[in-house]
Amino acid sequence: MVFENKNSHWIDAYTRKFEESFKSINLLDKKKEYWRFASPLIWHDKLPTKKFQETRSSQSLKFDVTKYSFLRFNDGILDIETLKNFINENKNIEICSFKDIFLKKDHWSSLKFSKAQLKAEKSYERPLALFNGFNARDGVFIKFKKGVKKNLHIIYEGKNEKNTCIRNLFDLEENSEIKVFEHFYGNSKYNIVSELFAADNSKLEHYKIINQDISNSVIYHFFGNCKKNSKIKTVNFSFSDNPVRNEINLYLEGANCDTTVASMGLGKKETSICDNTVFISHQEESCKSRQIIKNALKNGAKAIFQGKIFVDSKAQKTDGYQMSNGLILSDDCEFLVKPELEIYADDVVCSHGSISGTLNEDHLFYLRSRGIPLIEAQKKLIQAFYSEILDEVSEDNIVYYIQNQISEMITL
Amino acid sequence: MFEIKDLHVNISEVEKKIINGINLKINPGEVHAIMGPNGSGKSTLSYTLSGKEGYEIEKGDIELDGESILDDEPDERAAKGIFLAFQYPIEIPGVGNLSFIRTALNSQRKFNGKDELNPAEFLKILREKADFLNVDMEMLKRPLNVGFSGGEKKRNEILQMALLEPRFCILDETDSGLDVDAMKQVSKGVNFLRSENRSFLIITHYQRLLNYIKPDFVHIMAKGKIIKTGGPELALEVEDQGYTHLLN
Repeated sequence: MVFENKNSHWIDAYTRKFEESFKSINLLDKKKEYWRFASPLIWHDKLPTKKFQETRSSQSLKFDVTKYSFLRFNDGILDIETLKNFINENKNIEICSFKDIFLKKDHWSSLKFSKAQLKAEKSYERPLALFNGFNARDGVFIKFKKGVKKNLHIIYEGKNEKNTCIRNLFDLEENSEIKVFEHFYGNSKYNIVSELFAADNSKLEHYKIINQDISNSVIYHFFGNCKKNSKIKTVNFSFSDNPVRNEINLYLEGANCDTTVASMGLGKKETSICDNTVFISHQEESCKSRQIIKNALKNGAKAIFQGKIFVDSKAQKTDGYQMSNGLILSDDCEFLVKPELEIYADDVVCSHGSISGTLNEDHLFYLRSRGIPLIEAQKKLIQAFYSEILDEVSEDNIVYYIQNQISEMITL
Repeated sequence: MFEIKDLHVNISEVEKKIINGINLKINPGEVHAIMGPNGSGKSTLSYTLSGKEGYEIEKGDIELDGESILDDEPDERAAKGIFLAFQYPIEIPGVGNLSFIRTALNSQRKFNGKDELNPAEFLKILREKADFLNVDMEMLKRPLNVGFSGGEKKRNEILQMALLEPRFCILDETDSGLDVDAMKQVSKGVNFLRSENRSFLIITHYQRLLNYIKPDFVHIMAKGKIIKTGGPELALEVEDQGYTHLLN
């Protein structure tokens, strides 16, 4: 346990529960369907892992931090200066570091803390989210009040190569419209849990960018409870040469929710694993969900997609869509896919599909027959492969960064 | 000058010989038409000339201005001035038409040691050509050929030809899938591009396209060979009597 005042604080009951649950799980149990394609050991530092790729790139994604409110974590601890600035700039947003919550007897988050995670645990045990639950040292808890519109950047940097557990909570009140950009850099082995509570008519755009120069593994758990008419888009970009697991669990608990989960993985080395494990639960009627997963793989890189659309018997008029695509650029790559539908309502439209292949030779020839050299033509087609996801991105510098990453991939 | 010398071609995938010794010399400014029944090797010839992979040259040579282009990649051949207008222009979702044409033009300019055009310069030239060819600018903002009608696809091919200004143009059954009005429109574009420095090889099944694009020479191709050469009257003869009497 890392917390002080553990005998008195309301969080302690949760941390004890997480620890007990974690200890009851055998991480080496290969029968667990949830870890069918990749062992949890890959993301867990208590047990031996293979040597990760040391990667340094001059092409890290940079943002003009003067344009947005931003928060920075160094080795898993929230930078106090960025927090102070954020508080000064944003009077209509309640924010507190996770560390500081232990200094407060009462806090608004006590009504929400862990609720989304525990709901998700009922469908599958998520051992590394449990591990985070009793090892997180810091994080950020933010309440966006009614009608607030805000763009927020969170930067995670770290030199510490050990497990860095961070715990966030985003509470979006009615009619708030929030964009969150999260960027990961450095040597840390990240284990993040972010809980989302999206109230009626709230809107979240969430972009997560795992930069190429991250030299360790990242597991990110995103647990969301979405109320009536909320609109949630979460887009993951993984450029890392090391393992990244992106776990998304969204519970659509109000009618007319609209959710999009998209992930773009660019695997360039054999140490690269881009794992998307997505669970969307339609609990109420007339909700819409889209899952779009695209991975381009080269030089032995691996990608995984386990995606499920669950439709409760109450969730009539559900519109669910799931598509995963693999672009296999060398024979030694793998894209392992397990798409699932579990439907208990009888008036729904749900579809899922998965297509993998390599670059289309006829497309390449057409481009080259107009004078476009091979490498440029390949770049254009890889970009085209991702176009459905790039269309979701409103930030030009992310698009330019992706173009640069594709160029780098082609020349490797 | 474009010259095909005793060309023999196999399709490697099926290990079948398709072209069995073609000789053809096309001088600058000339328009040659190749007609022939299905399976005579016309499309194989067009793909071979433009350098498509899988077309294995067993014997012979293809020369542009006296230099062999056999070792050149498709993009190098294009940059040297060879243009293939496809029978079925390919739809490529996710590749913007405008961005594609600009990349193509600038790639060729770079290959030929010229400065690349900036977006404003490119748009100015594009608008001029698009207006003349009756190509809607909105169409150019869409993904490459995606959802285009048959006529739009062919007009897009001719627009690319107009912008890239090749020296030797191969039109592979450009008339297929076009109604009379669309064919006139496309022919107008081709005729506009005719010049003393530019030559054309028009591959077609039917004489009707040649009513609009007048050839200097007509060649009849069968079983991978040119079996007869003549003037425009040869196309009329085919229209009137079919290919059978020529094949016999």
